[in-house]
This record gives sequence, structure tokens and C-alpha cells, in this order.
Amino acid sequence: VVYALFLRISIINVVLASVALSLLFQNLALRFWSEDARAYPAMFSERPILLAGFRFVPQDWATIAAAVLCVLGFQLLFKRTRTGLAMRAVMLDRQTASLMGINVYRTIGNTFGVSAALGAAAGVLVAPSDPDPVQHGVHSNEGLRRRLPGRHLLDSGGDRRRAHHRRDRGPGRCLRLGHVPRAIVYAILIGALLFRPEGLLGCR
Amino acid sequence: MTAKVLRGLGLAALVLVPLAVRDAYTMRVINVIGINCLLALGLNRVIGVAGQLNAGQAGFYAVGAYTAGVLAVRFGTPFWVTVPLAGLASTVLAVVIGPVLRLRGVFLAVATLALGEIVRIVINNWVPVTNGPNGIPGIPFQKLGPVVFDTDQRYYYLVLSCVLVCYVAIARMADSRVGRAMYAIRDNQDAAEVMGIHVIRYKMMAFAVSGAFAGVAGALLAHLQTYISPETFTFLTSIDIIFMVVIGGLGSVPGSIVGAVVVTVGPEWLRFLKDYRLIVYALIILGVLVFAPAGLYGLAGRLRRRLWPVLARGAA
Repeated sequence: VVYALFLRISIINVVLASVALSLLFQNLALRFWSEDARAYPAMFSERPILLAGFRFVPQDWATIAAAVLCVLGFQLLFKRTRTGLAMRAVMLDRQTASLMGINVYRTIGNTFGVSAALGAAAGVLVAPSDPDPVQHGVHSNEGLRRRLPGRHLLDSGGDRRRAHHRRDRGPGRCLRLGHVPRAIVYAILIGALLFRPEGLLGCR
Repeated sequence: MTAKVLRGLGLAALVLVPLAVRDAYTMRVINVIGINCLLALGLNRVIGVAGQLNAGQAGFYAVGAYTAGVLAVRFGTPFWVTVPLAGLASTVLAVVIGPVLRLRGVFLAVATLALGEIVRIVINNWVPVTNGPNGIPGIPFQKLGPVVFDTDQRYYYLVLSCVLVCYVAIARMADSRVGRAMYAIRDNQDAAEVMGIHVIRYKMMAFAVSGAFAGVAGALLAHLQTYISPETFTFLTSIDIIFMVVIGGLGSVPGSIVGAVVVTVGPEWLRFLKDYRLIVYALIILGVLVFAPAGLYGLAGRLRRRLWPVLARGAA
């Protein structure tokens, strides 16, 4: 709803508004739930089950199933509903969509709403399956941790004691080598933007 | 005539600032405002004038800071060499990323964001040169002959000189042929190309100018703080610089200064709110984005245009 205020202005304002909102929500979370990480109970058992010789962790499978359901839900939304069709029309040509009677700003607002709901769903799904024992659970900084790939560096930047602790554990390996692949990922991202900006499965 | 007198008085006031401010903390904040002014002036050239969303300004800033830091600490290079070289290094980076400038809008923003992060990751991992996450301590104070800029009061004159030179350069560029070409690209890139403007070249020029300013700003920061580390140059630093440009007013040269002052001083002034500081700060930013989309400088101009006739009528 808040984004709707910025949509008529410019894309830069939308980007900045999203950062300001992120700052706002993060600090509100900090005020209400303190800065300590909170243990997030798994919805399903984390005890592995042996099935036909394979080990299955119900929680992991539930996460994957929920993600698949979200993708299927999206397919249905885009292909079978008027709202989804309106979103696709606005994506292809905003002016033509407007001429066809689609309320462009409301439709874009809807996409932000759907995106926010998905973000919330991802937060619920990812917290119990976080493999990092130090950061297990949810944290007021969760969004930033997920958004920026240099997560360990971000953590070490905020807390020097923990950075030294990490170096003690693994002679600085995570700091020296662990993030080079991130740089490669970013380089691939730039290449993809240059040569296939519509994405791997996007329509030309 | 009045404008010239006002400008002269303003300049005199700026020169006298260190004599009036004896508090080291306030003086440090003023120096940081100056450095941020350079960053905002440079980025405004890219976003406000050329209309290209650069979300990786912190990368250019980092390259400038580390160039100056490494040269000064490892080779004992004097500052009058490190500062121009820092600007040059960032300019070279801006030119090297030329192919990325084919992109537009959000795609360019994502690509520049990725570039900024690549720079930070490289700095973090290139330990033999950059000292990795521990940063570079012991960057020497700047010297010019017998004068050592070892206090914030003295350093202020260096920062002020750089800001004034960059301000005049940017203001003069706005009305030049290059400036007009950039405005044309911002308004309609396709139409500008049809009219014979070499879009990529001018975009690269905007990025090079912006990169040079960021490089100089980085060098000034390195010598001011005498310590730099990669955590200063995160994605959020780039966002802060964009805030400065947008809050001041896109495309406005004085607006960049206003934005740099507001974004630097705002969080400091709000310290009395303690834990609620960043909540209020975020709300203020949202308020500015909603109620003054043309920036605070644009808002001041609008108010002046509306109130001036009323005041003039009242006086008559």
C-alpha cells in the first residue's frame, strides 16, 4: 500500500522508499523483539527418516513442498486470474494496458503486495532450515543478511569479536576464500544482464 | 549584483567556519559533509543529469580510498599525488565498465550494484595489498610543504577547496554541450541517439566524472580518518549517496549540497532519540520522498515561488 504512493513519481524513489521501509521495519523489529536472535521452531520434525535406504528430513521436504506450492500458485495467478493477466499486460506495455482499462498503478501495487507476501513466506520457510548454528533462528537483521551475499563479512563487520573468533576457527579461510565465488556470481549476473536481460527462462 | 554579493558572503562564511567551530566532533562532521558533497555532486551527474541509476557508487569511493591508502602507507606517496591518482583510478574503473552502460534503468542499477559489491569483495579478499577485512591503518596526515593537515580545522580547508573546485566544474558543465547532451539522454535516450548524440560515450563521461569525484572523496576520507576498511563501502553506503542526491533534488547542483548536509547531519541530530533514531530517520526519508519528490531544494524553490508574490503584495 505504501509503495503506491511512490509509483507515480519515479523508479529511483521506489527503490529508495523500499530501502527506507526496510530500515523502518528492521528497526521496529529491533525495538519490539530486541536484537537477540530468536529460536524459530521447526514446523515439522528435523529428525531424519530412513525410507528405502534414503534419509529424509521432513522439515526440508516441507520447505521444498511449500516452495513448489508457491510456484504453482504463481502460475495459476498469472495464467488463470484477471489480476495475473493484468500484471502481465502491464509488464508487456503499460500504456496499452492502460488503454484497455487496466488500472496500471493498482496492478503494480498488487505486484508489490504479492512480492511482500512471498518475502514473508520465504522468511517463515527459511528460518527453521538455516544451517548456520551461530545465526540459527530469526534475527532483526534477517532481511539484510539474506539480501547481501557477503553475509559472514557483514557479520564480522558488525562485531569484531566474532570476526576474530571466526579467524581462530578457520585461519581466516572464510574471509579470504569464501567470498570469491560471490564475486563470480555477481560477474555472471552482470553477464546475464548484458546478454540475456530477460532471464534464462524469460520471453524475448 | 546581489547574487554575487551573497555568494561572496557565503564563501567568506565558509572560510571562517574553523575559526568559529572549536569542537573536534562538529568539525569532523563538517569535514564528512564536505566529502559527502563530492560524492553527491558526482552521483548527481549520473542520476540527475544523465538519468542513469548507479547503485554502486561505493565501489568507486572504495577504489579511491584504497588507492590513496595503499600508495600513502606502502610507498610513502605524498597526498598531492595520491588524491589525483585516486580520482584517476576510479575514473579508469568507470571507463572499464563501459560495456555495462548499454543497460538501462533497473538493469543498470542491478549491474552497478553488483560491480560495487565485486569491488568490496575483491578488497576484502586481496589481503596482500589491501590487508583484507582488517583494513589499512596508519594512513599519514596530509602535508603541503611545512603545513601538516593534522587537525580537522586545518583539514577543512583542503576539503573545502576540493568541494569548491568540483562544484564550479559541475555547475559549468551543466550548461555546456556535454551537459545538454546528458540532459537529452535523460529525457529520451532513443531520441537523443537519433539526434546524433553518442549515448554510450556521454554515459561513460558521466560515470567517469562521477567516478573521479568519488575517488577524490575516498582519498580525502582515507587521509582524514587515517584508517579505512571494506565495511565503510557497503551497498548501504551507495544507497546513502543516492539518498543525498534524491533528497537534495535530482539534477540540481546546490541540491546535492543540501542533500549531503541533510543525510550526514540528520542521523547525528536525531541521536537524542536514542533507539528510535533510525525509525524517525526512515520516516523522515519517506516523508521527503512523498511530499517533496523534487527534493528539498525543489521544495524550497516551489515555496519561494508561491510565497514571494504573497509577501510582495503584503509589503506593498
